[in-house]
Amino acid sequence: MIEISHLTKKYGNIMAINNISFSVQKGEIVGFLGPNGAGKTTTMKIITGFMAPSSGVAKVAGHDVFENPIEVKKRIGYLPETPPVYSDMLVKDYLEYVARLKKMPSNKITKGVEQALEKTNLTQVHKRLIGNLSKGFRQRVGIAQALVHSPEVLILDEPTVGLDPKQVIEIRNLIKGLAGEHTVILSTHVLPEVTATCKRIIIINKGEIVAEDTFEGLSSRMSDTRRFYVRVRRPANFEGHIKSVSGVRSFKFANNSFEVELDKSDDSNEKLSEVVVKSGAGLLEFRAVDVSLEDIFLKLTTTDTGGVA
Amino acid sequence: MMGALIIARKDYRSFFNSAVAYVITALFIFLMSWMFFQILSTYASRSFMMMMQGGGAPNMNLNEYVFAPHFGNVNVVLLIMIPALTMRLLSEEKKSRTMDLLMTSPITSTEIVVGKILAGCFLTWTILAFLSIYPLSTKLFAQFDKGPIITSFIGLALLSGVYVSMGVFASSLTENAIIAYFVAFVISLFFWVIGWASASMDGPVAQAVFNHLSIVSHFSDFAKGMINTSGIIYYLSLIVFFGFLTQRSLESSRWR
Ligand SMILES: Nc1ncnc2c1ncn2[C@@H]1O[C@H](COP(=O)(O)OP(=O)(O)OP(=O)(O)O)[C@@H](O)[C@H]1O
Ligand SMILES: [Mg+2]
Repeated sequence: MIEISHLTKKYGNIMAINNISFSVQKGEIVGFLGPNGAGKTTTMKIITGFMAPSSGVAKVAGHDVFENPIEVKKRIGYLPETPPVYSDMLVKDYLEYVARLKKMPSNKITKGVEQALEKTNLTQVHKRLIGNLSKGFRQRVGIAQALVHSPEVLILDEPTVGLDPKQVIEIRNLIKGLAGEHTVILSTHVLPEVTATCKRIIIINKGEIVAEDTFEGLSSRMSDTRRFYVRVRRPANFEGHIKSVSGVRSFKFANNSFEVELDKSDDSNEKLSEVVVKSGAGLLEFRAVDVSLEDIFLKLTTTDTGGVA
Repeated sequence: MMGALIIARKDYRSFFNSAVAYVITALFIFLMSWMFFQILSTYASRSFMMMMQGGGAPNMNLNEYVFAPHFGNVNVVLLIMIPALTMRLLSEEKKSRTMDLLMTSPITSTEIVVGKILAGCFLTWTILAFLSIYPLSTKLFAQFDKGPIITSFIGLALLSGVYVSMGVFASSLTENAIIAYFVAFVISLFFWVIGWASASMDGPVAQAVFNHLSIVSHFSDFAKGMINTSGIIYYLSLIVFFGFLTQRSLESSRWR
Protein backbone atom coordinates (compact mmCIF):
# COMPACT_ATOMS: atom_id res chain seq x y z
CA MET A 1 0.00 0.00 0.00
CA ILE A 2 2.80 2.37 0.92
CA GLU A 3 6.21 2.08 -0.64
CA ILE A 4 9.06 4.33 0.32
CA SER A 5 12.34 3.98 -1.44
CA HIS A 6 15.58 5.83 -0.84
CA LEU A 7 13.86 8.89 0.55
CA THR A 8 16.16 11.75 1.51
CA LYS A 9 15.20 15.20 2.74
CA LYS A 10 17.54 18.05 3.47
CA TYR A 11 16.52 21.34 5.03
CA GLY A 12 19.36 23.51 3.83
CA ASN A 13 22.34 21.77 5.38
CA ILE A 14 20.35 19.74 7.87
CA MET A 15 19.84 16.16 6.78
CA ALA A 16 16.39 15.40 8.21
CA ILE A 17 16.07 11.92 6.71
CA ASN A 18 18.71 9.98 4.89
CA ASN A 19 17.98 7.25 2.35
CA ILE A 20 14.97 5.72 4.07
CA SER A 21 13.23 2.72 2.51
CA PHE A 22 10.34 0.68 3.84
CA SER A 23 6.97 -0.57 2.79
CA VAL A 24 3.64 -1.10 4.49
CA GLN A 25 1.15 -3.74 3.39
CA LYS A 26 -2.57 -3.10 3.08
CA GLY A 27 -4.32 -3.37 6.43
CA GLU A 28 -1.14 -3.13 8.47
CA ILE A 29 -0.60 -0.82 11.41
CA VAL A 30 2.97 0.36 11.65
CA GLY A 31 4.48 2.31 14.51
CA PHE A 32 7.04 4.94 13.75
CA LEU A 33 9.31 5.37 16.69
CA GLY A 34 12.22 7.66 17.29
CA PRO A 35 13.60 10.37 19.57
CA ASN A 36 12.90 14.07 18.98
CA GLY A 37 14.21 15.28 15.67
CA ALA A 38 14.59 11.77 14.27
CA GLY A 39 12.66 12.64 11.11
CA LYS A 40 9.28 11.05 11.76
CA THR A 41 7.24 14.13 10.95
CA THR A 42 9.38 14.84 7.91
CA THR A 43 8.77 11.33 6.52
CA MET A 44 5.04 11.67 7.11
CA LYS A 45 4.91 15.07 5.42
CA ILE A 46 6.51 13.53 2.36
CA ILE A 47 4.12 10.55 2.24
CA THR A 48 1.12 12.89 2.46
CA GLY A 49 2.40 15.08 -0.34
CA PHE A 50 2.77 18.13 1.89
CA MET A 51 6.43 18.33 1.09
CA ALA A 52 8.70 17.14 -1.69
CA PRO A 53 11.68 14.91 -0.87
CA SER A 54 15.16 15.96 -1.92
CA SER A 55 15.44 12.57 -3.60
CA GLY A 56 13.74 9.21 -3.55
CA VAL A 57 10.24 8.00 -4.31
CA ALA A 58 7.11 7.58 -2.21
CA LYS A 59 4.18 5.59 -3.56
CA VAL A 60 0.73 5.14 -2.10
CA ALA A 61 -1.63 2.56 -3.63
CA GLY A 62 0.68 2.38 -6.62
CA HIS A 63 0.58 6.13 -7.31
CA ASP A 64 3.70 8.22 -7.05
CA VAL A 65 3.02 10.99 -4.54
CA PHE A 66 4.64 13.62 -6.75
CA GLU A 67 3.47 12.50 -10.14
CA ASN A 68 -0.09 11.84 -9.14
CA PRO A 69 -0.71 13.82 -5.95
CA ILE A 70 -4.49 14.08 -6.31
CA GLU A 71 -4.98 10.31 -6.51
CA VAL A 72 -2.75 9.82 -3.48
CA LYS A 73 -4.32 12.58 -1.40
CA LYS A 74 -7.84 11.24 -1.98
CA ARG A 75 -6.78 8.05 -0.23
CA ILE A 76 -5.02 9.60 2.75
CA GLY A 77 -6.27 10.89 6.08
CA TYR A 78 -3.58 12.90 7.82
CA LEU A 79 -3.29 14.14 11.36
CA PRO A 80 -0.35 16.55 11.51
CA GLU A 81 1.54 17.37 14.72
CA THR A 82 -0.72 20.36 15.25
CA PRO A 83 -4.37 19.52 14.54
CA PRO A 84 -5.31 21.62 11.48
CA VAL A 85 -8.51 23.11 12.87
CA TYR A 86 -10.19 26.50 12.40
CA SER A 87 -10.97 27.96 15.79
CA ASP A 88 -13.86 30.03 14.38
CA MET A 89 -15.78 26.99 13.09
CA LEU A 90 -18.23 24.62 14.74
CA VAL A 91 -16.98 21.05 15.09
CA LYS A 92 -19.63 19.69 12.76
CA ASP A 93 -19.24 22.40 10.11
CA TYR A 94 -15.50 21.85 10.17
CA LEU A 95 -15.81 18.11 9.60
CA GLU A 96 -18.25 18.70 6.76
CA TYR A 97 -15.82 21.15 5.21
CA VAL A 98 -12.98 18.63 5.43
CA ALA A 99 -15.18 15.91 3.93
CA ARG A 100 -15.92 18.21 0.99
CA LEU A 101 -12.26 19.10 0.56
CA LYS A 102 -11.45 15.39 0.47
CA LYS A 103 -13.94 14.97 -2.39
CA MET A 104 -16.30 12.76 -0.45
CA PRO A 105 -19.53 12.20 -2.44
CA SER A 106 -22.02 14.71 -1.02
CA ASN A 107 -24.67 12.10 -0.19
CA LYS A 108 -22.20 10.35 2.11
CA ILE A 109 -20.97 13.40 3.98
CA THR A 110 -23.63 13.55 6.70
CA LYS A 111 -23.14 9.89 7.53
CA GLY A 112 -19.36 10.19 7.44
CA VAL A 113 -19.37 13.16 9.79
CA GLU A 114 -21.71 11.39 12.18
CA GLN A 115 -19.52 8.32 12.31
CA ALA A 116 -16.33 10.32 12.78
CA LEU A 117 -17.99 12.21 15.65
CA GLU A 118 -19.05 8.95 17.27
CA LYS A 119 -15.72 7.20 16.87
CA THR A 120 -13.87 10.07 18.53
CA ASN A 121 -16.54 10.70 21.22
CA LEU A 122 -17.28 14.18 19.99
CA THR A 123 -21.01 13.86 19.44
CA GLN A 124 -21.89 15.92 22.50
CA VAL A 125 -19.69 18.86 21.41
CA HIS A 126 -20.56 18.88 17.71
CA LYS A 127 -22.23 22.29 18.02
CA ARG A 128 -19.34 23.89 19.90
CA LEU A 129 -16.85 26.36 18.51
CA ILE A 130 -13.52 24.59 18.03
CA GLY A 131 -11.68 27.57 19.53
CA ASN A 132 -13.48 27.01 22.82
CA LEU A 133 -12.58 23.33 23.10
CA SER A 134 -9.85 22.05 25.39
CA LYS A 135 -6.59 20.82 23.93
CA GLY A 136 -7.56 17.15 24.17
CA PHE A 137 -10.87 17.77 22.45
CA ARG A 138 -9.14 19.69 19.70
CA GLN A 139 -6.79 16.75 19.24
CA ARG A 140 -9.83 14.52 18.91
CA VAL A 141 -11.28 16.85 16.28
CA GLY A 142 -7.95 16.44 14.50
CA ILE A 143 -8.35 12.66 14.59
CA ALA A 144 -11.98 12.89 13.45
CA GLN A 145 -10.83 15.07 10.57
CA ALA A 146 -8.38 12.39 9.44
CA LEU A 147 -11.07 9.70 9.60
CA VAL A 148 -14.05 11.53 8.17
CA HIS A 149 -13.79 10.35 4.57
CA SER A 150 -12.76 6.82 5.73
CA PRO A 151 -9.51 6.89 3.81
CA GLU A 152 -7.60 3.77 2.86
CA VAL A 153 -4.46 5.13 4.45
CA LEU A 154 -4.14 6.99 7.74
CA ILE A 155 -1.03 8.89 8.68
CA LEU A 156 -1.21 9.92 12.32
CA ASP A 157 1.53 12.07 13.82
CA GLU A 158 1.45 11.51 17.58
CA PRO A 159 -2.31 10.85 17.72
CA THR A 160 -2.77 10.55 21.47
CA VAL A 161 -0.79 13.62 22.55
CA GLY A 162 -2.74 15.65 25.10
CA LEU A 163 -5.50 13.11 25.70
CA ASP A 164 -6.58 11.87 29.12
CA PRO A 165 -5.82 8.22 30.01
CA LYS A 166 -9.32 7.00 29.25
CA GLN A 167 -9.30 8.68 25.86
CA VAL A 168 -5.84 7.34 25.14
CA ILE A 169 -7.16 3.81 25.58
CA GLU A 170 -10.23 4.54 23.47
CA ILE A 171 -8.24 6.08 20.67
CA ARG A 172 -5.76 3.21 20.73
CA ASN A 173 -8.63 0.76 20.47
CA LEU A 174 -10.06 2.82 17.67
CA ILE A 175 -6.75 2.67 15.82
CA LYS A 176 -6.42 -1.06 16.46
CA GLY A 177 -9.92 -1.53 15.07
CA LEU A 178 -8.85 0.16 11.84
CA ALA A 179 -6.46 -2.68 11.02
CA GLY A 180 -7.49 -4.81 8.08
CA GLU A 181 -9.51 -2.25 6.18
CA HIS A 182 -7.24 0.71 6.69
CA THR A 183 -3.51 0.99 6.50
CA VAL A 184 -2.10 3.05 9.35
CA ILE A 185 1.24 4.65 10.10
CA LEU A 186 1.46 6.33 13.47
CA SER A 187 4.36 8.06 15.14
CA THR A 188 4.87 8.36 18.84
CA HIS A 189 7.34 8.73 21.68
CA VAL A 190 5.03 6.82 23.97
CA LEU A 191 6.40 3.32 23.80
CA PRO A 192 3.42 1.42 25.25
CA GLU A 193 1.39 2.96 22.47
CA VAL A 194 3.32 1.04 19.86
CA THR A 195 3.16 -2.22 21.77
CA ALA A 196 -0.55 -1.65 22.28
CA THR A 197 -1.53 -0.83 18.72
CA CYS A 198 1.10 -1.80 16.20
CA LYS A 199 2.01 -5.09 14.61
CA ARG A 200 5.23 -3.76 13.25
CA ILE A 201 7.66 -1.17 14.53
CA ILE A 202 10.03 0.99 12.59
CA ILE A 203 12.63 2.66 14.75
CA ILE A 204 14.26 5.70 13.24
CA ASN A 205 17.14 7.69 14.63
CA LYS A 206 18.94 10.72 13.19
CA GLY A 207 17.13 10.28 9.91
CA GLU A 208 17.95 6.62 9.41
CA ILE A 209 16.05 3.42 10.07
CA VAL A 210 17.85 1.51 12.79
CA ALA A 211 15.42 -1.36 13.23
CA GLU A 212 12.26 -2.68 11.62
CA ASP A 213 10.47 -5.72 13.00
CA THR A 214 7.63 -6.96 15.19
CA PHE A 215 8.00 -6.26 18.89
CA GLU A 216 8.74 -9.94 19.62
CA GLY A 217 11.24 -10.06 16.81
CA LEU A 218 12.96 -6.97 18.11
CA SER A 219 13.20 -8.15 21.68
CA SER A 220 14.53 -11.57 20.78
CA ARG A 221 17.02 -10.07 18.40
CA MET A 222 18.13 -7.52 20.92
CA SER A 223 19.85 -9.90 23.30
CA ASP A 224 21.25 -13.38 23.71
CA THR A 225 20.65 -13.35 27.47
CA ARG A 226 17.66 -13.56 29.77
CA ARG A 227 17.10 -11.55 32.91
CA PHE A 228 15.65 -12.81 36.17
CA TYR A 229 14.43 -11.00 39.19
CA VAL A 230 15.12 -12.89 42.43
CA ARG A 231 14.00 -11.74 45.88
CA VAL A 232 14.94 -13.72 48.98
CA ARG A 233 14.26 -13.30 52.70
CA ARG A 234 17.94 -13.65 53.79
CA PRO A 235 20.13 -12.12 51.10
CA ALA A 236 23.35 -12.40 53.12
CA ASN A 237 25.75 -14.95 51.58
CA PHE A 238 23.31 -15.49 48.76
CA GLU A 239 25.72 -13.99 46.27
CA GLY A 240 28.02 -16.98 46.39
CA HIS A 241 25.23 -19.34 45.43
CA ILE A 242 24.38 -17.31 42.35
CA LYS A 243 28.01 -17.05 41.30
CA SER A 244 28.29 -20.82 41.39
CA VAL A 245 25.78 -21.24 38.56
CA SER A 246 27.53 -21.55 35.22
CA GLY A 247 26.01 -19.28 32.60
CA VAL A 248 25.48 -16.30 34.88
CA ARG A 249 26.83 -13.30 33.04
CA SER A 250 26.32 -10.67 35.68
CA PHE A 251 24.10 -9.72 38.57
CA LYS A 252 23.11 -6.69 40.54
CA PHE A 253 21.97 -6.42 44.13
CA ALA A 254 19.60 -3.72 45.21
CA ASN A 255 16.66 -3.43 47.65
CA ASN A 256 17.02 -6.95 48.97
CA SER A 257 16.67 -8.37 45.48
CA PHE A 258 18.94 -9.57 42.73
CA GLU A 259 18.75 -9.03 39.02
CA VAL A 260 20.57 -11.84 37.29
CA GLU A 261 21.59 -11.87 33.66
CA LEU A 262 21.81 -15.39 32.36
CA ASP A 263 22.82 -17.17 29.15
CA LYS A 264 19.86 -17.86 26.92
CA SER A 265 19.70 -21.61 27.57
CA ASP A 266 17.14 -23.71 29.37
CA ASP A 267 19.94 -25.61 31.17
CA SER A 268 21.30 -22.52 32.91
CA ASN A 269 17.76 -21.46 33.60
CA GLU A 270 16.95 -24.74 35.34
CA LYS A 271 20.23 -24.68 37.25
CA LEU A 272 19.63 -21.21 38.59
CA SER A 273 16.19 -21.99 39.95
CA GLU A 274 17.53 -25.18 41.55
CA VAL A 275 20.39 -23.33 43.27
CA VAL A 276 18.11 -20.58 44.48
CA VAL A 277 15.63 -22.95 46.04
CA LYS A 278 18.32 -25.15 47.61
CA SER A 279 20.29 -22.22 49.03
CA GLY A 280 17.84 -21.93 51.90
CA ALA A 281 17.83 -18.14 51.66
CA GLY A 282 14.03 -18.15 51.69
CA LEU A 283 12.77 -17.51 48.16
CA LEU A 284 10.06 -14.87 47.99
CA GLU A 285 9.90 -14.01 44.32
CA PHE A 286 11.46 -15.39 41.14
CA ARG A 287 10.47 -14.13 37.73
CA ALA A 288 11.73 -13.42 34.24
CA VAL A 289 12.26 -9.74 33.43
CA ASP A 290 11.01 -8.83 29.98
CA VAL A 291 13.13 -6.75 27.74
CA SER A 292 11.05 -3.63 27.45
CA LEU A 293 10.65 -1.56 24.36
CA GLU A 294 12.29 1.22 26.36
CA ASP A 295 15.42 -0.87 26.61
CA ILE A 296 15.43 -1.64 22.91
CA PHE A 297 14.68 1.91 22.04
CA LEU A 298 17.39 3.36 24.23
CA LYS A 299 19.89 0.80 23.08
CA LEU A 300 19.17 1.52 19.43
CA THR A 301 18.98 5.24 19.63
CA THR A 302 21.52 6.27 22.23
CA THR A 303 24.49 4.06 21.43
CA ASP A 304 26.10 3.48 18.09
CA THR A 305 25.01 -0.13 17.84
CA GLY A 306 22.96 0.63 14.71
CA GLY A 307 22.57 -1.87 11.92
CA VAL A 308 20.43 -4.31 13.89
CA ALA A 309 17.99 -4.41 11.02
CA MET B 1 -12.36 23.93 -9.78
CA MET B 2 -14.82 22.49 -7.24
CA GLY B 3 -12.12 22.83 -4.59
CA ALA B 4 -11.91 26.58 -5.23
CA LEU B 5 -15.64 27.00 -4.64
CA ILE B 6 -15.53 24.91 -1.46
CA ILE B 7 -12.76 27.11 -0.06
CA ALA B 8 -14.37 30.36 -1.24
CA ARG B 9 -17.70 29.41 0.34
CA LYS B 10 -16.10 28.57 3.66
CA ASP B 11 -14.01 31.74 3.81
CA TYR B 12 -16.90 33.95 2.72
CA ARG B 13 -19.06 32.50 5.47
CA SER B 14 -16.45 32.79 8.16
CA PHE B 15 -16.00 36.48 7.28
CA PHE B 16 -19.61 37.00 8.24
CA ASN B 17 -19.31 34.80 11.31
CA SER B 18 -16.81 37.25 12.70
CA ALA B 19 -17.43 40.81 13.77
CA VAL B 20 -14.63 42.05 11.50
CA ALA B 21 -16.72 41.97 8.32
CA TYR B 22 -19.54 43.94 9.93
CA VAL B 23 -17.23 46.50 11.50
CA ILE B 24 -15.41 47.08 8.21
CA THR B 25 -18.67 47.30 6.24
CA ALA B 26 -20.20 49.73 8.74
CA LEU B 27 -17.12 51.96 8.78
CA PHE B 28 -16.94 51.87 5.00
CA ILE B 29 -20.55 52.96 4.61
CA PHE B 30 -20.17 55.66 7.24
CA LEU B 31 -17.09 57.06 5.55
CA MET B 32 -18.52 56.89 2.04
CA SER B 33 -21.78 58.51 3.15
CA TRP B 34 -19.96 61.38 4.78
CA MET B 35 -17.79 61.95 1.71
CA PHE B 36 -20.75 61.66 -0.64
CA PHE B 37 -22.70 64.19 1.37
CA GLN B 38 -19.79 66.64 1.26
CA ILE B 39 -19.53 66.34 -2.51
CA LEU B 40 -23.26 66.72 -2.89
CA SER B 41 -23.49 69.83 -0.73
CA THR B 42 -20.57 71.47 -2.53
CA TYR B 43 -22.33 70.70 -5.77
CA ALA B 44 -25.60 72.13 -4.48
CA SER B 45 -24.09 75.41 -3.31
CA ARG B 46 -22.12 75.87 -6.52
CA SER B 47 -25.09 75.25 -8.75
CA PHE B 48 -27.12 77.63 -6.59
CA MET B 49 -24.47 80.32 -7.09
CA MET B 50 -24.46 79.74 -10.84
CA MET B 51 -28.19 80.06 -10.90
CA MET B 52 -27.96 83.43 -9.09
CA GLN B 53 -25.25 84.74 -11.39
CA GLY B 54 -26.27 83.50 -14.81
CA GLY B 55 -29.92 82.98 -14.27
CA GLY B 56 -31.77 79.96 -15.55
CA ALA B 57 -31.43 76.33 -14.54
CA PRO B 58 -27.98 75.00 -13.72
CA ASN B 59 -26.52 72.77 -16.38
CA MET B 60 -23.83 71.27 -14.20
CA ASN B 61 -23.79 67.58 -14.76
CA LEU B 62 -24.34 65.33 -11.71
CA ASN B 63 -22.34 62.50 -13.25
CA GLU B 64 -19.32 64.67 -13.78
CA TYR B 65 -19.45 66.77 -10.62
CA VAL B 66 -20.81 64.29 -8.10
CA PHE B 67 -20.49 60.66 -9.14
CA ALA B 68 -17.09 60.80 -10.82
CA PRO B 69 -15.38 62.25 -7.69
CA HIS B 70 -17.46 59.96 -5.51
CA PHE B 71 -16.22 56.84 -7.32
CA GLY B 72 -12.71 58.24 -7.21
CA ASN B 73 -13.07 58.39 -3.41
CA VAL B 74 -14.41 54.85 -3.33
CA ASN B 75 -11.32 53.76 -5.20
CA VAL B 76 -9.03 55.37 -2.61
CA VAL B 77 -10.92 53.81 0.26
CA LEU B 78 -10.83 50.38 -1.40
CA LEU B 79 -7.08 50.71 -1.72
CA ILE B 80 -6.89 51.05 2.05
CA MET B 81 -9.70 48.65 2.95
CA ILE B 82 -9.15 45.61 0.73
CA PRO B 83 -5.70 44.72 2.15
CA ALA B 84 -7.43 44.52 5.56
CA LEU B 85 -9.97 42.07 4.16
CA THR B 86 -7.41 39.87 2.43
CA MET B 87 -4.52 40.01 4.89
CA ARG B 88 -5.56 36.90 6.84
CA LEU B 89 -6.71 34.76 3.91
CA LEU B 90 -3.48 32.76 3.63
CA SER B 91 -1.31 34.06 6.48
CA GLU B 92 -3.79 32.73 9.02
CA GLU B 93 -3.87 29.31 7.33
CA LYS B 94 -0.12 29.17 7.70
CA LYS B 95 -0.10 30.40 11.25
CA SER B 96 -2.76 28.00 12.52
CA ARG B 97 -1.23 25.13 10.48
CA THR B 98 -4.51 24.58 8.62
CA MET B 99 -2.41 24.97 5.49
CA ASP B 100 -1.35 21.37 6.20
CA LEU B 101 -4.96 20.35 5.64
CA LEU B 102 -5.31 22.29 2.38
CA MET B 103 -1.96 21.12 1.02
CA THR B 104 -2.71 17.45 1.76
CA SER B 105 -6.26 17.53 0.37
CA PRO B 106 -6.96 16.33 -3.16
CA ILE B 107 -7.05 19.83 -4.61
CA THR B 108 -4.38 21.70 -6.54
CA SER B 109 -2.63 24.80 -5.23
CA THR B 110 -4.22 26.66 -8.15
CA GLU B 111 -7.63 25.78 -6.74
CA ILE B 112 -6.56 27.08 -3.33
CA VAL B 113 -5.47 30.40 -4.86
CA VAL B 114 -8.59 30.77 -6.99
CA GLY B 115 -10.72 29.96 -3.94
CA LYS B 116 -9.01 32.64 -1.88
CA ILE B 117 -9.31 35.27 -4.63
CA LEU B 118 -12.99 34.42 -5.12
CA ALA B 119 -13.64 34.68 -1.39
CA GLY B 120 -12.02 38.13 -1.31
CA CYS B 121 -13.91 39.23 -4.44
CA PHE B 122 -17.31 38.02 -3.22
CA LEU B 123 -16.76 39.83 0.04
CA THR B 124 -15.72 43.15 -1.52
CA TRP B 125 -18.52 42.93 -4.07
CA THR B 126 -20.97 42.41 -1.24
CA ILE B 127 -19.69 45.56 0.43
CA LEU B 128 -19.68 47.43 -2.91
CA ALA B 129 -23.33 46.55 -3.40
CA PHE B 130 -24.14 48.92 -0.52
CA LEU B 131 -22.81 51.79 -2.66
CA SER B 132 -25.90 51.53 -4.84
CA ILE B 133 -27.78 53.46 -2.14
CA TYR B 134 -26.15 56.72 -3.32
CA PRO B 135 -27.28 56.72 -6.96
CA LEU B 136 -30.62 55.18 -6.01
CA SER B 137 -31.37 57.85 -3.41
CA THR B 138 -30.09 60.69 -5.62
CA LYS B 139 -32.39 59.45 -8.36
CA LEU B 140 -35.35 60.37 -6.15
CA PHE B 141 -34.75 64.11 -6.52
CA ALA B 142 -32.43 64.64 -9.51
CA GLN B 143 -31.78 63.50 -13.07
CA PHE B 144 -28.53 61.96 -14.23
CA ASP B 145 -27.20 59.51 -16.74
CA LYS B 146 -27.28 55.84 -15.66
CA GLY B 147 -24.57 54.67 -18.06
CA PRO B 148 -21.48 56.05 -16.26
CA ILE B 149 -22.81 54.73 -12.94
CA ILE B 150 -23.05 51.21 -14.32
CA THR B 151 -19.64 51.31 -15.98
CA SER B 152 -18.15 52.74 -12.77
CA PHE B 153 -19.48 49.75 -10.86
CA ILE B 154 -18.02 47.39 -13.46
CA GLY B 155 -14.69 49.18 -13.14
CA LEU B 156 -14.80 49.05 -9.34
CA ALA B 157 -15.66 45.36 -9.35
CA LEU B 158 -12.69 44.60 -11.60
CA LEU B 159 -10.35 46.92 -9.75
CA SER B 160 -11.23 45.37 -6.41
CA GLY B 161 -10.42 42.00 -7.99
CA VAL B 162 -6.97 43.42 -8.73
CA TYR B 163 -6.52 44.63 -5.13
CA VAL B 164 -7.76 41.28 -3.83
CA SER B 165 -5.32 39.24 -5.87
CA MET B 166 -2.48 41.53 -4.76
CA GLY B 167 -3.68 41.11 -1.18
CA VAL B 168 -3.89 37.34 -1.44
CA PHE B 169 -0.37 37.28 -2.83
CA ALA B 170 0.93 39.40 0.06
CA SER B 171 -0.89 37.11 2.48
CA SER B 172 0.87 34.07 1.02
CA LEU B 173 4.27 35.51 1.87
CA THR B 174 4.01 35.63 5.64
CA GLU B 175 2.32 34.26 8.73
CA ASN B 176 1.91 37.78 10.02
CA ALA B 177 -1.33 39.51 8.99
CA ILE B 178 0.01 43.01 9.71
CA ILE B 179 2.96 42.47 7.40
CA ALA B 180 0.57 41.06 4.79
CA TYR B 181 -1.51 44.25 5.08
CA PHE B 182 1.39 46.59 4.46
CA VAL B 183 2.88 44.53 1.65
CA ALA B 184 -0.54 44.44 -0.06
CA PHE B 185 -1.03 48.18 0.45
CA VAL B 186 2.39 49.02 -0.98
CA ILE B 187 1.95 46.78 -4.02
CA SER B 188 -1.50 48.25 -4.74
CA LEU B 189 -0.31 51.80 -4.22
CA PHE B 190 2.67 51.19 -6.48
CA PHE B 191 0.34 50.21 -9.31
CA TRP B 192 -1.47 53.51 -8.78
CA VAL B 193 1.55 55.74 -8.86
CA ILE B 194 3.42 53.85 -11.55
CA GLY B 195 1.60 56.11 -14.03
CA TRP B 196 3.37 59.17 -12.61
CA ALA B 197 6.51 58.02 -14.35
CA SER B 198 4.90 58.80 -17.68
CA ALA B 199 5.27 62.53 -16.96
CA SER B 200 9.04 62.25 -16.79
CA MET B 201 9.36 60.02 -19.85
CA ASP B 202 10.67 61.42 -23.12
CA GLY B 203 9.15 59.35 -25.88
CA PRO B 204 5.41 59.16 -26.39
CA VAL B 205 5.68 55.36 -26.44
CA ALA B 206 7.24 55.23 -22.95
CA GLN B 207 4.62 57.69 -21.73
CA ALA B 208 1.85 55.52 -23.12
CA VAL B 209 3.34 52.39 -21.57
CA PHE B 210 3.49 53.86 -18.06
CA ASN B 211 0.09 55.36 -18.43
CA HIS B 212 -1.23 51.96 -19.42
CA LEU B 213 0.43 50.28 -16.42
CA SER B 214 -1.37 52.59 -14.01
CA ILE B 215 -4.52 51.04 -12.64
CA VAL B 216 -6.18 54.43 -12.02
CA SER B 217 -5.81 55.75 -15.56
CA HIS B 218 -8.02 52.91 -16.81
CA PHE B 219 -10.51 53.51 -14.08
CA SER B 220 -11.12 57.11 -15.11
CA ASP B 221 -12.45 55.79 -18.43
CA PHE B 222 -14.91 53.58 -16.61
CA ALA B 223 -15.98 56.55 -14.50
CA LYS B 224 -16.71 58.52 -17.68
CA GLY B 225 -19.04 55.82 -18.92
CA MET B 226 -16.69 54.05 -21.28
CA ILE B 227 -16.22 50.30 -21.34
CA ASN B 228 -12.49 50.25 -21.72
CA THR B 229 -11.56 46.89 -23.27
CA SER B 230 -7.83 47.31 -22.84
CA GLY B 231 -8.51 48.28 -19.23
CA ILE B 232 -10.55 45.13 -18.66
CA ILE B 233 -7.80 43.02 -20.22
CA TYR B 234 -5.15 44.77 -18.12
CA TYR B 235 -7.08 44.26 -14.87
CA LEU B 236 -7.75 40.61 -15.64
CA SER B 237 -4.13 40.00 -16.52
CA LEU B 238 -3.01 41.59 -13.24
CA ILE B 239 -5.40 39.30 -11.35
CA VAL B 240 -4.03 36.27 -13.18
CA PHE B 241 -0.45 37.43 -12.71
CA PHE B 242 -0.72 37.87 -8.94
CA GLY B 243 -2.71 34.65 -8.74
CA PHE B 244 0.15 32.91 -10.49
CA LEU B 245 2.72 34.44 -8.11
CA THR B 246 0.61 33.25 -5.16
CA GLN B 247 0.46 29.74 -6.57
CA ARG B 248 4.26 29.74 -6.96
CA SER B 249 4.61 31.02 -3.42
CA LEU B 250 2.42 28.18 -2.08
CA GLU B 251 4.22 25.55 -4.12
CA SER B 252 7.61 26.80 -3.00
CA SER B 253 6.74 25.78 0.57
CA ARG B 254 6.79 22.17 -0.59
CA TRP B 255 10.42 22.48 -1.59
CA ARG B 256 11.87 24.22 1.43
N1 LIG C 1 11.16 23.44 8.44
C1 LIG C 1 12.36 22.99 8.89
N2 LIG C 1 13.48 23.68 8.63
C2 LIG C 1 14.69 23.23 9.05
N3 LIG C 1 14.88 22.10 9.71
C3 LIG C 1 13.81 21.34 9.99
C4 LIG C 1 12.49 21.75 9.60
N4 LIG C 1 11.62 20.81 10.01
C5 LIG C 1 12.35 19.87 10.63
N5 LIG C 1 13.66 20.19 10.62
C6 LIG C 1 14.76 19.37 11.17
O1 LIG C 1 14.66 18.07 10.62
C7 LIG C 1 14.93 17.09 11.60
C8 LIG C 1 13.78 16.11 11.69
O2 LIG C 1 12.63 16.76 12.16
P1 LIG C 1 11.23 16.05 12.37
O3 LIG C 1 10.26 17.11 12.69
O4 LIG C 1 10.95 15.21 11.18
O5 LIG C 1 11.50 15.14 13.63
P2 LIG C 1 10.50 14.25 14.47
O6 LIG C 1 11.04 12.86 14.42
O7 LIG C 1 9.11 14.44 14.01
O8 LIG C 1 10.69 14.85 15.92
P3 LIG C 1 9.63 15.01 17.12
O9 LIG C 1 9.60 13.69 17.80
O10 LIG C 1 10.25 16.05 17.98
O11 LIG C 1 8.32 15.41 16.54
C9 LIG C 1 15.20 17.84 12.89
O12 LIG C 1 16.59 17.90 13.05
C10 LIG C 1 14.62 19.20 12.66
O13 LIG C 1 15.37 20.18 13.35
MG1 LIG D 1 7.41 15.07 14.90
